[in-house]
This record gives sequence, structure tokens and C-alpha cells, in this order.
Amino acid sequence: MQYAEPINRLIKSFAKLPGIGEKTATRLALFVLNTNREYAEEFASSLKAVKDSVGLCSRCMTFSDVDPCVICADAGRDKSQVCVVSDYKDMMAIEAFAGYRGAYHILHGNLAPLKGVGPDEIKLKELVERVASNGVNEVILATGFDAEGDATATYIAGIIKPYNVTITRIASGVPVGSFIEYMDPSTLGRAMEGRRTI
Amino acid sequence: MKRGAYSTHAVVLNSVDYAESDRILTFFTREHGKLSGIAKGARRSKKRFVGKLDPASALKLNFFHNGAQDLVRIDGADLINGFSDVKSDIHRYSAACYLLELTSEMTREGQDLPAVYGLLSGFLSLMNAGASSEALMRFFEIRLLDQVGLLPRFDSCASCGKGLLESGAEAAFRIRFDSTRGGAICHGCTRGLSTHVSICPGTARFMAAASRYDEDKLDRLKPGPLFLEESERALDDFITHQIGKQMKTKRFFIKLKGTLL
Repeated sequence: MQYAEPINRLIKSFAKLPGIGEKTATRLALFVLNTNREYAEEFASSLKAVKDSVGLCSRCMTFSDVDPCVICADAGRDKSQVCVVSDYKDMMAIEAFAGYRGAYHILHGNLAPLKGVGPDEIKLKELVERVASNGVNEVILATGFDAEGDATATYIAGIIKPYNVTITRIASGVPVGSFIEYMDPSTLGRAMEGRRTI
Repeated sequence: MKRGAYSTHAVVLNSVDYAESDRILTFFTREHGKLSGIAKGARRSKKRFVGKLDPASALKLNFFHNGAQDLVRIDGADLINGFSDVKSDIHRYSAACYLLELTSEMTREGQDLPAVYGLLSGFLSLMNAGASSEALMRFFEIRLLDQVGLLPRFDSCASCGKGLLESGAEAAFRIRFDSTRGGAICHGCTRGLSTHVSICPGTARFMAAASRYDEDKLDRLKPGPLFLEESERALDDFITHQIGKQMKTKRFFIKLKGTLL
């Protein structure tokens, strides 16, 4: 016994979402089927609206429904400081901290040899153009501290070095509120390397 | 593998995000060959897994196998060597990733290959110490193909077995390397040969030597640019023929070379 074709299509659509398997997709599809019509219509229109009205900001490459985005258009922000992050979620995490008042550049990925993702498949060209067009004094590399994030940061540092801007890497090491004795050697090593005078 | 808890040395071959905060790892162990496992909550972990599950990390790994499923449950990991110098440069990191992907492609899960573990961790150490990545990749290909029983013929004909490098007459010519027939082909066996890679006798001699040289002394071999260029073409053709597709890290090399940045 097969599900009716429209249900099957919905299951397949859900199953394409990251982290959703066939069983969860079926559960979600049946939930949509059992829920009231208003919710299903609102859900469908949200999906459509997000694709219709959200694009990439032409300056920082973030997802936005206006161009330039709210952050790039904010006159109170220091546009000479550009914080480079791997994806939109990382930018939102830094924004939640609320202490940073500069601009961003979202790469939409990292260089990933094991996935075959090269420099032309992330928003690197746009970053270089932005740095080359003057007005940028500091590039803060805030990619992750995993192997791909680190390798991406060093690659970016290499390609923007000729443009005579300050290139910094966010600090890594012992998290606030934690105890030295419980830290792993690589974290402690990073913390010692990145020590600063007080 | 029997149901139970295991503790083993392993090198992480690949690591991908799964669900909300988990990671699925492919790793090569000293005792049990290639395995896959899930590290629950690994991306949220602040102590148990943090900084340890990256590709090209040598670990002491604790895992549980329930005896039925393919995926083991990874309970803990201690970092033995993160090969941090390799990861600080995209060219060396991508070369290390090539060794990992090649190992993954040329082995099956559950195959007991302790020598391959030693080979992989040894070559990652050499790469981390700053040895030429290009030469190491070629030597690794040759040694790995040998370990998995797929070493092509370099110095004798893969069809008739005739030695190609002893007589001066043959040595004066280029050698035809045919991946479909399993390596170098002598002049008498070239009938019906369509596509092949042409290499000079010096390259064939060097590749044969690399397959026999002591592993810990391989970094003393200093190949020239002609060897690197020709052996890459021949071995790439052979490996692509064996696995039936182009490897992702190979595509990455092409993209890295071809970028205008």
C-alpha cells in the first residue's frame, strides 16, 4: 500500500531537508495533513515568500530582503572593519553578542578538499573585490577552528595580504568560566600561543 | 566484529555533520581497518570531542559495536596527534585529505589492514614535518596500491612479464603505461593498445624503486619535476580506472590551481 501521490511528494520534499530521514519526513507530512488548513497555507506561503523576497546583500553576501542589508545600511557601523564568517548562522551568533559594530562578509562555506569545494564556490571573489575597492582597514577572520575553517582563514589571509589591510584572527583557547586542569592539550596550546599582555 | 566495547588507535578519514549536533566519522583503525561511527552531541561537546574529530587527526578512540549495525557508537576520543602544521596551510591540508580519501576509496569496511594504518599515520607525520607533499602523495599511492594488492607493473610488461628497464634498446624509448592492462606494456604487446600514458624509463625506474624502498627512508628520495609530472598522470589514470570515478580531492586540486584568486 502506497501513500497517495501528493503525500508521497510532500514526504520526498521533507526528506531533502538536512538531518531529516524518511521516517521523520513521513511524520512531518502526516502532521501537515492533520493540521488545520490555515496553518498549512501559512506554511506554504512562508516557503514561497522566503524564496521570492530573500536574496543576498550585494555587499556582505548575507541573506536579506533588502539590498543593501540592514547591517550594511546602518550608518552607525564601522564599514572599515569586516568580519569574515563561514555562514549566516555564525554572523547571527556574533550579532547576538552585540559588542561588534563593524560590517560582515559571509562566505557561505569553507574550502573543503574532502567535499571538493574550491575557492570559486564560496564568496571569496566578492571579499577580495570589497577589500580591493578601498575603505576596508581591517579584516577579522572569524571562520571556525576546525581544520576546514583554519585552512580557509590562512588561505584568505594569503590572498588579501597584498592589499595592505590589517588581517586579524579571532582568539581561540580556554572558554570563559572553565578550568585549566580540564582543558584538552590542543585548546591549551592555542591559548598559550594566543596570549596577550594585560 | 563481535558486540562489545573497543579501544583502538585510529586516523580520522572524514567527518560530516549529522542531525542537530552529531558527527558521523569514517576512521581507519590499527586493529579493525576502516570503520564508520556516530559521535552523539559532538558539535556541542566542550570537552569530550572538541577539536579531536577533524579529518587527519590521530586518536585513541573508544567505541561500542552492537554486533549488528554498520555504524559504531563513539564514546570518547583522546588526541594523539592533530597534525596541526598540515592543517595550517590549504595546500598541505588538501594533500593530507587526498591521502585520507584515497585510503577510504581503496579499502572496504572491516578489512583487517594494520600495515595501511601504519602507512597512513607515517605519511601524515612526514607531511606534518614539512616533506614535499607532491612527492609524498606519489609515494603514498604506490605503497597503498601495494598494500591492497593492486600495485601496477612499472619495470616489467604487465602483459608478458618481460623486463623493460634492463636492455638498453627498450630503455631508450618511452614506456606505455596502460591502466586497463595493469601497468607498463612492452613494445611487443602494444597491439590493440588505444589509450595509454607515456612515461620515460627514469620515471618507471623511480616508481619501481619507491615501491621497494624502506618506508621510513622514503623522504630521502628526491624526485625531479619530470618524475612528479609523469608519475602523477600515470597513477591518476590507474587509480581513476580502479575506483571508477574522479576523487573529490583531485577535483579540489584542479579548482585550487585554476582559481583566479
